[in-house]
Amino acid sequence: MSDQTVCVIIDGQEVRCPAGCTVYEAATTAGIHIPTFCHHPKLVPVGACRQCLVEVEGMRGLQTACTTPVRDNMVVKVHTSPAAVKARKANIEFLLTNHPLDCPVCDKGGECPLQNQAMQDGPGQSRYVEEKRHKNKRYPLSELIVLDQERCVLCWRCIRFLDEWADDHELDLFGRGADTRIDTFPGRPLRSKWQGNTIDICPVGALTSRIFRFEARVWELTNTASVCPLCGVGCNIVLGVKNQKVRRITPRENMEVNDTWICDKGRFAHGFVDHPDRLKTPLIRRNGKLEPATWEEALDLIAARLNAILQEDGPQAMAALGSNQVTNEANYLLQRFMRVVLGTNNVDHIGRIPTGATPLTSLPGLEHRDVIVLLGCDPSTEAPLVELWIKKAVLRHGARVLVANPHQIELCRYGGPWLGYRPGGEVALLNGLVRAVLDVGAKDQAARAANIEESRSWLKAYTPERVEPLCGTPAAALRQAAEVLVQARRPLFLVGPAWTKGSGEQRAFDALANLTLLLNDAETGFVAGDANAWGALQMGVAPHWYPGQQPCQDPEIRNRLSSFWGTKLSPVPGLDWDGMLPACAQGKLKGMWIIGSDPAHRSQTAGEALKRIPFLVVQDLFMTETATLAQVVLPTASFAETEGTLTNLTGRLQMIRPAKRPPGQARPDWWIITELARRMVESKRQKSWDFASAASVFQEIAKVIPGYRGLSYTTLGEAGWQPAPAQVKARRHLVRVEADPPSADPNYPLELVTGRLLYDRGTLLRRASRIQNLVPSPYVIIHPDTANQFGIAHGDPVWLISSQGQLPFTVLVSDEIVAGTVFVPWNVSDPPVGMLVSEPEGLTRVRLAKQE
Amino acid sequence: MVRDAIVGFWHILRAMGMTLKYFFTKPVTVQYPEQPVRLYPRFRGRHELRRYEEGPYQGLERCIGCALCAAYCPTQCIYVQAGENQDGVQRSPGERYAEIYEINLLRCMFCGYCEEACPTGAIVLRRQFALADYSRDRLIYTQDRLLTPSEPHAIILDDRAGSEQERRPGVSGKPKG
Amino acid sequence: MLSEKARQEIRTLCQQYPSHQSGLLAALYVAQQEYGGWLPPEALDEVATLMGLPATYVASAASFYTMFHRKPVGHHRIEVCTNISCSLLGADHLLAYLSRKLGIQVGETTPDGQFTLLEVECLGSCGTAPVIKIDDQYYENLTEEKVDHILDRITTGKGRAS
Repeated sequence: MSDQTVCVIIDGQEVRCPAGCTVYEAATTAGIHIPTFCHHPKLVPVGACRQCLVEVEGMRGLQTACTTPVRDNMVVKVHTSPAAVKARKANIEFLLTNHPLDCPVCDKGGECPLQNQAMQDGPGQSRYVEEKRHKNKRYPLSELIVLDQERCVLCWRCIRFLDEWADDHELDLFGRGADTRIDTFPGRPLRSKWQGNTIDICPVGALTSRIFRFEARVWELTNTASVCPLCGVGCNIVLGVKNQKVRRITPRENMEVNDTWICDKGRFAHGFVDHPDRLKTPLIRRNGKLEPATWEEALDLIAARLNAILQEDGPQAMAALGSNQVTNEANYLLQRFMRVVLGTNNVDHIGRIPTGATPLTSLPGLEHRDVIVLLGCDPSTEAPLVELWIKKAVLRHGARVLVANPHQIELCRYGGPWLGYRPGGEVALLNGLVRAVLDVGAKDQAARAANIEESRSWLKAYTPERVEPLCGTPAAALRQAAEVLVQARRPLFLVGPAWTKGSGEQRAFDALANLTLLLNDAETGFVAGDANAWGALQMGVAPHWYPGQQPCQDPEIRNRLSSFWGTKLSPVPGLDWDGMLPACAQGKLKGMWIIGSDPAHRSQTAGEALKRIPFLVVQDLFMTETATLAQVVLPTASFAETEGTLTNLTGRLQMIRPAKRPPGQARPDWWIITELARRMVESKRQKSWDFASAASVFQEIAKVIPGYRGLSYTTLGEAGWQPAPAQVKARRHLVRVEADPPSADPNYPLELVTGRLLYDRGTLLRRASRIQNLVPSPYVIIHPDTANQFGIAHGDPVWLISSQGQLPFTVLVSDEIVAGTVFVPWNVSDPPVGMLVSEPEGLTRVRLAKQE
Repeated sequence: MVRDAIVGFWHILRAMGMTLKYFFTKPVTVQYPEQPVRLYPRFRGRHELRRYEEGPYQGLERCIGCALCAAYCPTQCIYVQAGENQDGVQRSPGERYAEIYEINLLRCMFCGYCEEACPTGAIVLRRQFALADYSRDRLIYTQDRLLTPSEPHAIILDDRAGSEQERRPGVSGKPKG
Repeated sequence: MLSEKARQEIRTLCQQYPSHQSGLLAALYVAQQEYGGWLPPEALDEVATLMGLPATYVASAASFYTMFHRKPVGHHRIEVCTNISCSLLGADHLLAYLSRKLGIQVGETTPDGQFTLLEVECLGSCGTAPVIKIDDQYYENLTEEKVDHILDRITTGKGRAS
């Protein structure tokens, strides 16, 4: 589209629009409505439905407005041309001849474009009296979607969405003439994780959700604008509630986050909100059993016990775990409670974003990156919307996707190259890339580093051939990747949580900085897999950071916050999660409060350590494994029942809003923490815990965090608030980072790689009915070399053994994984794969044994 | 004072005369339920959910759980939760049936709009008017009660005079229309 | 499984077109012959993998054309044109006659596996309507007697009728 504008006359109205746009777009900008079915603003027009016919002076016959480009001085008649009006009316009648008109039982009824247009422009009655044509009704396309081929008007929107956005060509037209119908490959259900969007864009009730099926008529739903809590993207959604139950989730347009799409996990996995397993009353352990209690009893007990521990063992005997899944308000209040009321810095959360990581600056900005490098991250499963933006960059602008991951991920389909590496080999891999980039790119690249000459000496050891044995990445792939990187104009490095596990945060990021320094306009962004990973960090749920990532060691900041919170803050450095574990085990921690996380499920060690805590309080939605160890369990409100903010992976603050009441006695996190604090502080200081709502908590957060000054729920609005991108100090020097030699342990020769699947059996998804049918049975992927070494064949049942224990799995032999590693999906097996993991070690080594 | 007494006495006599007059006219009240009530044919009493009485769907519920009655209801006294017919266990024709169908008769004003909105003629306002009960909960009529026909002991006046039909409680009549 | 010869043939065919995708119909034709006259899902899948196309796309293309069969077919395929010219000259009656004669419905195969009766779109021989096509041979200006005669000759093994 050029910058030129042209002038067209539509229904006598002069409209200026850019040259090259379509008549439909021109009319829309002028506010002239042209009815459509097949046209969708996010899809390439096809002109399949003939509903947008208009008259164009000088052109023979009627034209489809959605595909006709404008010309200067074109005269278009939409509503003033009797022929066009008649043709559109006839088209509606024509479409309706074979449409079953079962609107009363159709889930689209009430928000159906065909219904609306039949009312607006339709003839009102049909002259067609013959038997309507019959195709498949109630035809399941997958576990999640059902198709009614009779209702379909063959507009191709679903096919085009899957093609143009998801790049999953799984739907197509089958047959021909009057028998044409939408279908999948024979016997193969839809597998795309974006299929739910086809329900939204279907202009009739042909594609409908099997989870929302007959749950409610759309006009019965109370719609609440909220944000999806299931990954770090924070897609904007609408919760449809009828009779205090979440019936469906639909996307809400936000061009800065999710455009108009959401993944199927976000759309269909809401079953946990109204699951009967939800905790409904506080539980207190009496005679070894958790029994229902009132809030008064539970809170009084916690206050008394914490006070007793405070008296006997001092503030350092207590610790708290916040969560990267709960709201900012809850996290902020938790650390405020620990620091102000108890006087300890022992507060942390699991899955903290590694030091040195920076948030992604913009999601739509991904589209304009020509090379995207995925380092230990799999957006398709960890943050699906990121995948959609990457696909947009690939499909519309030809971007390259380089994948550094121990096993092949879905995005490897764009040709990579795939840089498979063994965990622990991250630094070697990056050094190899730095060296290869210098070799391939010569002067241009070298000139960017000030200390290039002295660096060459230590980089000598990292030729692709020498790197191969260190990290397992084939030299050819490394060279190929370097060539792509050298030519990149705007490369983007997406780092996942797995990337820093093997080599340590500092070294992994230093090595990465060396590489980005050599490249053109490179950016690094961390892809946080959890809904509020940045928020938890930002709220100060970390032993060394006050809210706003202000260091606890800085006396000036400590004094300022001391006077703000009206108490003297402790200068004693706090324990992080890795430090809490041994402290638990040694019996140093007497009391612990865990909100919204399940450490006992994550690792054997954590479970053992938590058993030794005399007074454990767990606040969660369900009876998690950690909750079973607790003395007091507090029921909390889910994302659909509470107000608050979440910070997504670009640092964007977005609001969740209550759409329904919490079940039973469950209460929002902020209420619980406030109530407990008010029981523990002396009466004259109770005023500082006078929070009446989440909004008032946020008001205080906006005062404490320097960057948030002036923010309130009103300013966040429905679209959220994007902070200015952090200023990253540009480095000019290469830092020497040496790679570790590959670790070896004859007893446990293999490196365990775990990764998320989109659908798993985690605490929440386990309670989402249909989603569970999509979770595979537990498997382990091994390399053919490993299979030979252990004498194991594809499909064999095996034991996976680590120093912590052993678990049964089925073997999949595949060369899509680096030799020497095995891949096990997280949260799929029961007992969980965490049973093999020991914390706080970064990596877990395992061996295989055939099951007898 | 005396005049007032006379006027007052006269008023009392007049009133008593009125009473005396009705003493000799035919009473409008009937000894219900022993005696039938006379109802006009389009009288709207409590709701009934109908079934198909003949044809391929014989015995199936007419209600498809579309909730259009609930949407149209001006007092919002109808609650419908639809369910999906499983293969082999068909409660209504097609894919959808009403899993829960409740009418709060305390709120209902018997306007008959639900009847008008119903695409399958499932809900009809029949003539049962004797709805008094001992608990409020019992007046939220559930699906099974709505599916059970109930007729008052009544004489239905026909639009065309001369064909009066007596109905007794418990004797189901064929619904009109 | 497609034989290596068939695979090679498909590769060669695809190279004859400016865009290799254009060779799809020819490739499907080769696959159909390999699979005994019809295209099971495995065949579609194989062609898709071989040509680097989405399987659904291939299946969709195959479903459009009446000369690709997605169900097993008999030894002889009787394809009756029922487009307008043929219909005007009695193709529908012919079809019904064949259906009665063979004792099968349209789309079905006789129990002995000899004949499959199919209804197809215009065979491009409107001037000699009604037309049927048996295997690769056209039979024109047909009447019920002629059809009897043709089928007799085929069943008695005397080959093609003129």
